[in-house]
Amino acid sequence: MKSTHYQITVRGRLSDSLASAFEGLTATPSAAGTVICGELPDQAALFGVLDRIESLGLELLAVCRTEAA
Amino acid sequence: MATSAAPSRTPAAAGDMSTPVVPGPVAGLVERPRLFAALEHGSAGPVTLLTGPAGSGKTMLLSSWLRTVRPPPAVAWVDVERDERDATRFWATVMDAVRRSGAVALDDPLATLTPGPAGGDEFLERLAEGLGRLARPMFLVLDDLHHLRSDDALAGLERLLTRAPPHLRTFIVSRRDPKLGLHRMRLAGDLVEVRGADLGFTPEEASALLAAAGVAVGEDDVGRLHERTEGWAAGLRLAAISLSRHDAPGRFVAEFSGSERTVADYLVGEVLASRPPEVRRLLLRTCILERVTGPLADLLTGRTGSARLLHELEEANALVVAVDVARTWFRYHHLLADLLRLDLRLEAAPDEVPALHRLASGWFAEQGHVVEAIRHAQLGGDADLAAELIGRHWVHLVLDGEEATLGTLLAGLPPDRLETDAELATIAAAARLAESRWEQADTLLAAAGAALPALPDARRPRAGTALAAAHLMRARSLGDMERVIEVADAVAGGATGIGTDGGDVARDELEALALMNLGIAESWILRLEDAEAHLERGLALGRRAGRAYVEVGCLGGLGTVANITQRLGIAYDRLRQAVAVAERVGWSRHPVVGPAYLSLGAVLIERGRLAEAEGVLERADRAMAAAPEPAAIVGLHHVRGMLALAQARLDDALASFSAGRQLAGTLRAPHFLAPILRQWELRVHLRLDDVDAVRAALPDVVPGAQTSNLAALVALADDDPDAAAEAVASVLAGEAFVFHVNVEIEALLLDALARTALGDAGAAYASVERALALTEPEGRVWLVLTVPGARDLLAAHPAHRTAHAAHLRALLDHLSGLEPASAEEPPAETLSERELAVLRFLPTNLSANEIGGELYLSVHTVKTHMRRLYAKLDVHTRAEAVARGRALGLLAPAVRRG
Repeated sequence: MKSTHYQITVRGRLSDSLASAFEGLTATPSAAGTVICGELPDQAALFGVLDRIESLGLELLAVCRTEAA
Repeated sequence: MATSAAPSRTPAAAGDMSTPVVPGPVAGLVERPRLFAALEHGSAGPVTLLTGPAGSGKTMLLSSWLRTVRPPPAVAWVDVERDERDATRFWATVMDAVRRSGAVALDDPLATLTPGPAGGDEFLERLAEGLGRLARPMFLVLDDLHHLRSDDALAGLERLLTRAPPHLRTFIVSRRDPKLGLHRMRLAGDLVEVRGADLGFTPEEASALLAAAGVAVGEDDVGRLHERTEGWAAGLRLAAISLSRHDAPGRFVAEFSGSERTVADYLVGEVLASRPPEVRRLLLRTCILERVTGPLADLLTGRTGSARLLHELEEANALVVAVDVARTWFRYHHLLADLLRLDLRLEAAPDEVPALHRLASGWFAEQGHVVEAIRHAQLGGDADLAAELIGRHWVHLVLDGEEATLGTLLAGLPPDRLETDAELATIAAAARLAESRWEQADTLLAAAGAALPALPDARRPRAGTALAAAHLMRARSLGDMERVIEVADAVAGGATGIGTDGGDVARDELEALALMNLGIAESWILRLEDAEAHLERGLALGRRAGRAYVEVGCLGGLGTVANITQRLGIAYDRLRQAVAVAERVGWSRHPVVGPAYLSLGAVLIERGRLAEAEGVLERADRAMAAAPEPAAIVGLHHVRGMLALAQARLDDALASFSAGRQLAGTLRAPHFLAPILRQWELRVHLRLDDVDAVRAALPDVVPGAQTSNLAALVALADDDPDAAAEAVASVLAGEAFVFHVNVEIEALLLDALARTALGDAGAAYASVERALALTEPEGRVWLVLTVPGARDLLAAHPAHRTAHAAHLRALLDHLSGLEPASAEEPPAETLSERELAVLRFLPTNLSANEIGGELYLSVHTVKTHMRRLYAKLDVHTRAEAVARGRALGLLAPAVRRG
């Protein structure tokens, strides 16, 4: 199965403990907040990440699908 | 091990049953007039929707508003469990909350209504009816509805909301818009919404919140806090907690405003840092729980005094919320718990978190909270413990109709365990059987059988019992007689562990279920003594464990056996009891009650109460449609044929008997009704004047008493009374085996018809007298209705010389199509003197309290008597009890007012 690269932007900067909620993805500070990015196998995995964003009280700003580097 | 028979799903169920439960702190509430007004407006209509992201203050707003409503309303507060996928479990928590609301009288059907295994439709109708009967408004709060992941449950909820019982006010609290068809209500103006943007705090409200928390900060700082949190409720509350302990509030605000970290993360870190170490330890080590109580927190922290800390936390702020009235159970705000879990994972040693889960698992298991015990065992990585707990408690879940939960728990085990562990494979099979997924169940049963010898000695007996129970469930559902015989033999040989005294509730339930299925299946293969013994024992175990499902099944089976063994009075009592128990819990359309309706129909038909039987058979049809068991459907065709024949609907009778015989032929081993159905099929052919066909078929019919009678019927149709008398002679002489008294009654009537035709009035008289003597004791009518010429025969019988004059008159009425108005039967159980005394007060306007005053009894005792007498009279309401009491002559007739 081919996985897809996603860039998810949330408001604010994430502490180490918050960033650890997104295992396997990298969290990088950006102008808008924090960009969480990495490979996700499918939509189910994507919704899992979005679910976690919601339950941690983070504000979702953008979701982008990008070509794998 | 302390397992209760019916573990309460929510801790509050054990608390005060009459006090409404509204979670949240009493102190530190903020009045938010604009939102309170919106809720007030919403409470005038059917549905109010509160949506907003985590921490936006939905629950807090609703609970603080509810505390201001005067007079205090009845509140049914439902906390939807995280990731709830089990519709039955969801409705069970709703019912718990509805009963705790205080709006349901003890004698209301809602007090006993239970969402049964796979009985959804009827449950929802009864619930809607019950809520429709409410005399005053009930506020149903569904908190965290976004956790509900069951389409069935959502569809049911939508139907309930569409029905809109007049006094039901539903408040839906959710992070997302639920799939409930709310757009239609929105268009109709029936929906009031409070959404995320509304929930945000205004600067004035933020100021009030901080003041209520005892925080003194300047207007500028309030403004900066409001800006930084964007009015987000959780942020403001967390900030208030930190500020209340901070010696330099201004600096705190400045640092917070300057930080780029997310609001919640920053503030939770601050709150934790500002708390004493023991609080920090408590929060971190118990955040793995969905709910926490003092003793459990003591265990996880290894300290004492956790209950006090939890109380303090609850009183001080919104970090911890009590979920019961007694304030013994608490839960953390979901957002806080999620953030704490991340901290715990970073700070704790690698094996510490699993160890905490295992500790929690042991504690929950000891307290009888099975599902939580299993979940924590799985989270703790202890698959052995999880497997042991599932093995011990799965029957609970199946009997409660929580197959979906069982499925989730099984799915949480390592995949290879299901294939290699005989007990787990059996349980997985049982879960599939409960969902009618036969092929998957068969694969699992085969794997279980193969793996059973490999199981350690200590686990094998229970696994063996479970396997036998699962095989019986399957055999019963599919009508697999061969397998029934196999398992019944194995049980008799002691190979299954069934019949050995288990002595603990979990074993008892498993055994009760196995015995119920075994007994019912044994009745199909006519091992009637075994069937009766097994059903009696299953009934006793089922009652001890408080299992209505087993009780209904066993009573239905016992009634069926009593009917087959020709004890109509006992059959009638047991079947009425089965129906009464089923109706009490709201399962009158559940498949488990189908066979009881079926046999009750048969008993009524035997007694000539055809109109009543028709209604009862419709209920049998409806109950069986959900899970048609072939062997039971054969029985249904038989009884439908009996009814049609008695009503002289010959084409219908023929169709029913034929359909039954053909279905019986497709079963793996012959159904005992197959030859009997053939006999009746041929009798209907005779009634349709198709004598040649019957004559041609006779040589192929299994010989026996019933076939001799059939030959006599053919002879009479041929005007050959000599041959007819000769045909039944062996039956009357007792030389042929007579399976059922009806066969002898038929032979006697045919003999009398033949003797009459031969001019031997004396012999005819004697045979009719014998037939009457056989029919009278149990009031049998049906067979007489099926014999052509019986009416003239009985009409000619000398009324002044019979020992059975009243019975003869009744039979002649039946034969003329005059069915006596359905005679009220005495109740299955007689009322005690006290119950009679209470019954006599029911036609009055006196309340239970006032009746207690008249009889010098406590109101509680009066209500207990009312409950018992309703059950005995098989009624649900006071009005019904009065009507039935009058019909039975227990009360004086009503005075008609001109």
